[in-house]
Amino acid sequence: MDLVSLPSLAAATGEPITSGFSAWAAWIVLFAPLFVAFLVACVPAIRKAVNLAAGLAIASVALGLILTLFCYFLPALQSPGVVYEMIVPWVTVDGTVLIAFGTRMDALSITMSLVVTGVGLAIFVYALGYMHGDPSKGRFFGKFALFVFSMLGIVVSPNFFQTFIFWELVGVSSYLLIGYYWQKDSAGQAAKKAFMTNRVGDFGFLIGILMIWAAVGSLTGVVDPGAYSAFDFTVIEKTIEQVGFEGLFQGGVLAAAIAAALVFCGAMGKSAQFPLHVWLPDAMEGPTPVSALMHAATMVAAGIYLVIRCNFVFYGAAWAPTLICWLGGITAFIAASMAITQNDIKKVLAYSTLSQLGYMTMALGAGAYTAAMFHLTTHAFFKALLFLCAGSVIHGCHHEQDMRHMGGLRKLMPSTYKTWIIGTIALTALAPIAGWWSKDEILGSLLGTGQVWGSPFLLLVGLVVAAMTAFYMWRATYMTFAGEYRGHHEAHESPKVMTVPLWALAIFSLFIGFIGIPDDTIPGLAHSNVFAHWLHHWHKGGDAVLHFGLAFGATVVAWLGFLAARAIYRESAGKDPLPQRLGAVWTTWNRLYYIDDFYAWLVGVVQQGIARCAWFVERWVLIQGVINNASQTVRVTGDRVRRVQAGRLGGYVTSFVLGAAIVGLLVLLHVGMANAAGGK
Amino acid sequence: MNPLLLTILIPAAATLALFFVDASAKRAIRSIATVATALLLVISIGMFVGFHAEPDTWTANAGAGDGAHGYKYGFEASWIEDMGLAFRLGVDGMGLAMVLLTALIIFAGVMVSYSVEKRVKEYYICLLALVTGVFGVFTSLDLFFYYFFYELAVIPMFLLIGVWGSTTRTVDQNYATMKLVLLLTAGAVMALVGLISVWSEVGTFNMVLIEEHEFSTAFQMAWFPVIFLGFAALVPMWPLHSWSPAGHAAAPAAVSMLHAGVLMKLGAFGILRIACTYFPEAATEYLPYLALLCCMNIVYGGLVAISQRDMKLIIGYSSSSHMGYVLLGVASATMIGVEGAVFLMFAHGIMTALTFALIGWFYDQTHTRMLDDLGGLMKVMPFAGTCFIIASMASAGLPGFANFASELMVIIGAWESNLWLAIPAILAIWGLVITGVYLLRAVKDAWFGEMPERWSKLRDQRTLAERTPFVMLTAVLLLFGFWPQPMVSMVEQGVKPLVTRLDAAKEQVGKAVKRVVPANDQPAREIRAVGEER
Repeated sequence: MDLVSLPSLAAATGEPITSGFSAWAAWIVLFAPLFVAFLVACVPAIRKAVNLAAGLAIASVALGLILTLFCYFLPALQSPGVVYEMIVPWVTVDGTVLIAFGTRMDALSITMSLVVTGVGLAIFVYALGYMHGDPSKGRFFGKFALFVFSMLGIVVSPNFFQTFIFWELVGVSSYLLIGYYWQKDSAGQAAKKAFMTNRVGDFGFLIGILMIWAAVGSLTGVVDPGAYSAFDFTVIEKTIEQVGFEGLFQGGVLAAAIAAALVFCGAMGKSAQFPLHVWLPDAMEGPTPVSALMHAATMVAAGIYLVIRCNFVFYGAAWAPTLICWLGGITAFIAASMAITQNDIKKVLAYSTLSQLGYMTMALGAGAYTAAMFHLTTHAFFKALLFLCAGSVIHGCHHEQDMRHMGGLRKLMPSTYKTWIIGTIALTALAPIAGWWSKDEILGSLLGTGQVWGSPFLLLVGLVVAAMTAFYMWRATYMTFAGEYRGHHEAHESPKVMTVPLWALAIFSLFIGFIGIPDDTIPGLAHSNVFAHWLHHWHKGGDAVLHFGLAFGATVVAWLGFLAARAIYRESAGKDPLPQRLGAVWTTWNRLYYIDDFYAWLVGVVQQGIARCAWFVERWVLIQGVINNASQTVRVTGDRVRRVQAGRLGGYVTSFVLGAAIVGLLVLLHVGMANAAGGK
Repeated sequence: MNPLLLTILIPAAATLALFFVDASAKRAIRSIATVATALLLVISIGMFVGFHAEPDTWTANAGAGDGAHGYKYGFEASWIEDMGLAFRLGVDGMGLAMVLLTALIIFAGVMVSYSVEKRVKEYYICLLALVTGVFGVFTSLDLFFYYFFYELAVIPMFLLIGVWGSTTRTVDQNYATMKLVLLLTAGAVMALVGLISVWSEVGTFNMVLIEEHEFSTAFQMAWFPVIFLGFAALVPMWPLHSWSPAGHAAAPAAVSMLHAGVLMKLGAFGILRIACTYFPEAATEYLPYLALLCCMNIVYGGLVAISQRDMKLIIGYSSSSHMGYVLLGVASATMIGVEGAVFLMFAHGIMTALTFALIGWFYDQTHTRMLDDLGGLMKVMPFAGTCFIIASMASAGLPGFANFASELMVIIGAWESNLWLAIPAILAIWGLVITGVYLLRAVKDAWFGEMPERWSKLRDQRTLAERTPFVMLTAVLLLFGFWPQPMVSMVEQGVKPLVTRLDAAKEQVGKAVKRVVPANDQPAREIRAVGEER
């Protein structure tokens, strides 16, 4: 097996890049965490020396961050469209590469890699403090490192198949970490639910991948895949560029839309979009750093990343963008409404994450891939920050998660409070930091898109959700931090090892938004949208422009949501008047629109019923009806036949005479017929 | 000395040697079995490593280019010359994959069986006799010995389950033993009838010669189903499968390992080696229907597994579900699919052996396998629990394990063959979801959650000898999961001639062969020029 490093097909400008630092760096970035996970799993000494295990895990992520930063600052990658790819054949059948494995470093994967390792590093350091005193901390960091490996695998993946591999691995590491407290029944349930929901998504994903693979593979006359397989993103992109959807699929653009929708199923599972959103809130059973890293900042972003990575499959694929956009809108709305009714601080953030992912998905549908990526990036920082703050609160309140038993933490946990406020402002877009810019870009993209049916309505949904976001976040803020402390034990501020990462993320949350200010917004800065220029290659649809009216409107509704929350919860002292006021609506929201109940019925009654039917057929038709009856028949027949040979002489004589008579008769008949035939 | 001959002589010699060992010398008995199987493992690995460098001893269809089928490590000793009977051994890549699988599993099985205390001597005699037969089937190139070794494998199975097995709430031991042996024999007899007809047609037992014989279409159409069904009962194909889960449930751990790991593969191996190779035209006619039947295996087997509470029945039905994937790969009749099928036979064998070994480990102590009685076992046996989760993940088709690579190859192959509008492929992908359901439930109910007080005294694997089989099987799964190419290349050597034959047969009966991944000289699908349309 040769290690080949081939000129990238995607290099639009400049010289093709055959090797170099970035190509190698990607392999190290990817495999360093796996190596650590392997060490922790296989060497008991390291697993038991908890701080060594944690240190190794942190070092592997830090190494990834540093190397990615190097790649970013290297001049070679600054020119747009440059790709480093280093690929080895993984499975070769009959001399053709079926599946290739490799790394791909381009502007998009570097951005995502920076988010994963950057936010990851802060959370790893934080976890050092949060998991303090847990005897199996070594195991925790091993699994954590495994997760980072899986996630980075998606990030640097150059082809669909490798993405699917790491897609599944992310699912496993998520399963392991959600079920980290395996003694708790609810944790086991939640882990299973997350895994199975993702599996259902992957069902569609794999079919979609195979559809595209079969179509592209049979068209290898167009682009010679060489060492790349027909799963390769670049090969697929080139093929679609040259022959269009009509030339690619025999079913034309309709088949393209089906394939796109199926691939999106995968994204729907990982990024928890309606109707596969149910696993994410339950996943909060895991330790809080896990919630922060996986279920807020990175893993759930994988679906968004996937769509951006292979946007050529989606862009212009008939009704697929509309479907995606609407699912995003539905998710954004239902999740925001569910968040309003939650009392568990982590659950509020979980539903908030769902809702924000809905925004990103809407942008994907509208074809605003850079806007989605921008929101993904800013969201990763401030949502990780909020989760870590929540973790700090939980830690400080002795594992209390119910906001009704909190309150007054403003004075008791000043650092946590200040950073939480920064995160909340960034999320709710009251002031022009982080989320204000990215969310506005998404809303703007809905205004300008032509490929989504009903986009004005979705824009309206986006605005309503903006108000709801402000409402539930400030509701949580007031319930947690305002008034007097209502808990049972003395609350305390968290140690430095936890607050320093909070501040690091808070600072990023403050400034991250400024890398994506639309061009020409600030006088004299014609190219202020650094982010969009950097991701130029993925920029489709209209240019990002600041729509002043829209930005103003979004800010106003956010302030309205904030003021409403302030009016209701500032003096509420942990009591929530909403259930009475909203009545049945509140109940519906609190029961999650009965979707979880419906799924529970589907699994518990329908699936179990079908399984029972299968068992009934197996037990009574196949085993009893066919096999046991057959053996019974043999036995009974044997019994009867045995009686003939019972040792009674008379019986034998009778049978003998009868038999002889029959044989004689047959012989006579035969002879007679032969004579008759001969006579003719 | 010829390594293939050794793989048969060593277990046979060990079996004989054990007859002369004092029954109370348990240590000596176990050592003999361990050393013998360790030797087998070393020889098999040696053959695996040197496979591509080894020249072909015999080549069937030597002039047929891609269709040339090389058999390596050949050995021949004449026996009854008048009948053309000879003791003839040889393997292609497919056979060697199975030899390696058998060696790995029997070594692990012998080590796992250290916990057997009842009639130790007879136990190991049966086990080694069984494995002699299995090696014989995978390596024989003579129909007579092929069948002889096959029967040799079945008889010890009867004793092993009948004497050392156990009756539980779910399965009666005697019933399961009888059912297993009767159905296995019924299948074998059916295959035997077919094999005799083949012999009477060609006039030789030499499998290399038979392979070169061109059977008439009518003969193929008549005898393919007979031989196929005989072997399919062994796979086990739905609806002939019910002997298998019951047999598992009654058998002791090592026997379950061999049963699911190796015996079931004998059937699939026979289908490929005999039915499809000899009767390619009939195969192209009948295989599409197999693609439908194996969907029943996959989906129905999985659904029945969901409704089980006995761990061994869950894994038993799961095995029958997974063998559906093997059959689907065979039915696809594409390079990718058939290679995937053989690779999956290997991967599934290792994985399921690991699972049964683990179930045996705790069953020895708990005397129950019902999920309702278990729970929280992770607390007292973290090593076993970790291994079980790994095996379950492998079974559920998680990347990093050989099962993933092979199952995906099967699915890709099925997709490529485009049988029945790819519906079998889609059902197979849904089968991955079903697998997840019952395995994760088993993991959660047995290993996670609260632990009943009475299990607090259970012990984990601690010593090196106790851990070796588990670590070895896990390592093999991971090795070929991360680096499948060596296995794929080796399997390809055996599969390519077969698929070439099937393709040729398809063209003969007028079915166009359309490949998604064209061979280098095949023209790609013509594309409609975009410009013309607009």
